[in-house]
Amino acid sequence: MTDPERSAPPVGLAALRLLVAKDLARRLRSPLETILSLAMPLALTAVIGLAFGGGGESGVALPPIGVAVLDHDDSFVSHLLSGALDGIDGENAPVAFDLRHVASEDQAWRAMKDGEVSAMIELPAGLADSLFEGGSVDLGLVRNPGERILPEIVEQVVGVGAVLLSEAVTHLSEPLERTRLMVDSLESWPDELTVAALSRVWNRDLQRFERWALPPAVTLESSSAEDETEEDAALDAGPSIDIFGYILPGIAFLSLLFLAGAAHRDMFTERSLGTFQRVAASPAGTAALLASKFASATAIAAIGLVLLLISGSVVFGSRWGDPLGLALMIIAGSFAASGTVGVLYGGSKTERQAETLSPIVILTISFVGGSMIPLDNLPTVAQSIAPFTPNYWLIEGLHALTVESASAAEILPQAGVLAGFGAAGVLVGLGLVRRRAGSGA
Amino acid sequence: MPDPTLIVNNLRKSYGSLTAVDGISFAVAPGEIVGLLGPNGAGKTTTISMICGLTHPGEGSVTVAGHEVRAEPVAAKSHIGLVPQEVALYEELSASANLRFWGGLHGLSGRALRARVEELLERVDLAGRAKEPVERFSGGMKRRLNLAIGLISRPALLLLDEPTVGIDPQARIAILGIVREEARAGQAVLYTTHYLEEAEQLCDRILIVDHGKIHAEGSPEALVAMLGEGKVVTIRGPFERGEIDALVAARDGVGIVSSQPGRVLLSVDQGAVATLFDLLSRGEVTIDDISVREPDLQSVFIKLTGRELRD
Repeated sequence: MTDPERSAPPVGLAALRLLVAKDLARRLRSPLETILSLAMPLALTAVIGLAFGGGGESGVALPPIGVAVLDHDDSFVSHLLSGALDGIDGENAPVAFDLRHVASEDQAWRAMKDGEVSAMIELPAGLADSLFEGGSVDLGLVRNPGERILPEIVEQVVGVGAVLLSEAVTHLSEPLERTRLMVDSLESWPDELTVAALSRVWNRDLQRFERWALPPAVTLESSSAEDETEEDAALDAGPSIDIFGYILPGIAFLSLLFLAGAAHRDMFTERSLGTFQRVAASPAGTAALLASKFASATAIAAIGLVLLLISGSVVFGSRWGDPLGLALMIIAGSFAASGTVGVLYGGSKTERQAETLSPIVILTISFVGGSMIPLDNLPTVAQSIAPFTPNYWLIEGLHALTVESASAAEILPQAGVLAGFGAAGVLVGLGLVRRRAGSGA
Repeated sequence: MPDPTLIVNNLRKSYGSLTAVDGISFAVAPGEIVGLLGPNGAGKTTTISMICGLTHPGEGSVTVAGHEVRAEPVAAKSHIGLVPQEVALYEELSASANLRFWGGLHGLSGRALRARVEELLERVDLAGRAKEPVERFSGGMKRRLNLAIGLISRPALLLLDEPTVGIDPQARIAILGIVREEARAGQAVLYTTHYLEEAEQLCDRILIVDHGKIHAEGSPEALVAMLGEGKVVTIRGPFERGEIDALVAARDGVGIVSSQPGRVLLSVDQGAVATLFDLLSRGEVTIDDISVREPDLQSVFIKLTGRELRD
């Protein structure tokens, strides 16, 4: 009686493949919700990016970072060091600094409190003497506790400067000695021409370090009074960073959560259509059908994220770094989105309950996770909760790829945490939905 | 006599204190069409759910084509074609895409699948609309496609749950014709319906189910013969239970089939009909309506369960 042309019915992964292909075909036939879910993050990114001043081909001008300098030494050397920091410009560095000389720590604190500066650099008394005598120099750095990323940038740049300074003490004995003699022979602070001459000597020897020392961190270029205007203009223009590429990952993940939610909602749709029962009565069975919703949600989220990132590149000129690392983040992020939302839908008794609950939870974790507002601008409490959201890890991973040019190996921790979110979500969500399916709810 | 395709043995299922199915046993042979008749809540859907493996039985067993459903669910389900009461289709997909999907789930692929899809589309008269999304179809077209999906795998057992609800007479005739063809080809068919005339026309055997139990079983003719060779008289009016009973008690040729407040069903010999009308016309009991008809399954159903099929 059985059809001789029929082979063994597909079970397990083979059945899963058929079920997912069917879900994708249905989504393709009814694409409006998906298109809106993908258009929304692009529009939001554009609006937020433009609000931050975007509009260039590949990026926007970032305002210089305010840094307070408390110079206890008030020597030629301390002036030279702060001048070096002040001389970092947007052409060679990803950031620029706006130095503000302060007379006391209180003044620096007030500037930090008012948000005028992101950090204070303290140049200790006796700096010049220690440097010339080959002794150790301790630079102080106080970070603005109200900010996160900008003080970090200052610390990194000053850290590089400290390394260079140490190397200079060790290897630049000749110019140091000449500088010391020059300084010792001076009865008053040198004029600009003298400083320029001295800078040329320093610059000549520093060129040996250009190959390995980060060029944007310290640049000592001879400059005249006429050139200063151009330098200032360059500084005012600021460096170019991809603000759209910085914003899009967070908003994209928010969109992925909604896309995955739509895929999971299909479980309720299939129940009302009667196709759930029909598939469950087929050889594929209930388990394959339930698992297929998680797989479909992952696939739809992955396709959505790929389209968003491609759109980000086309529309905003964003670049996403190492392709292998990017692929890893797309897969892990989509899996995490599916698992996270799957728990919500698996735990809901009715479609209405799921539809009420999911936007609240999705928006909350997206807010706390940094999808809507950069983490630096969130309250400290939210920042401490953020690592418990998948949004945070996707944003961290993509930022590592784009801002820090991380490799696939370097973003494995972020991808691993996202995969963990996905796996936990699948286990919990499947458990909840199977329990309900068994109870006939 | 071939082995039965479906063997249901002492099936029981309870939900808390409610017993939905209470020790049902029956078998369906290849080529046989068996009707499952019962009002809502009789236990028909629960029985079908247990046959499909959608609901685990509390007791008893179901064997399909030699495979016990709980022990070998994949093997057993691969022999079942389910046509559920609701039109269970993917409305965004075309008729052929729906058929290809369900055929794939049953192990059909490639040329064999394409050929089967084309054949079924022709049989249910949808070949000209094969590429259209199902959401554009009429109710009758959807019903026909719903049936075609149940047939896609040439199952040994075809389960049809009210397959003709809400469709026009023409589509109903088409569906019943296809079911007969499938049975002639050797499929065992289990058919539930509220339409008694359908069951009478289509089924080789009928099981009358109520409160989770089978009350009677036999061919439509054998079941109707339970009422004898006389007429069936239905009396309706604002009377209490027992008023008509007292009036007709001990009258020759008149038997009470079913008695309820407001409605009494009598089995009356041909020669006793006039006497009965005389008796009723005396005005001792207020009567709104009297009907006389040949015995049918509805009368049998009322006799066995005390209520009409749609009560």
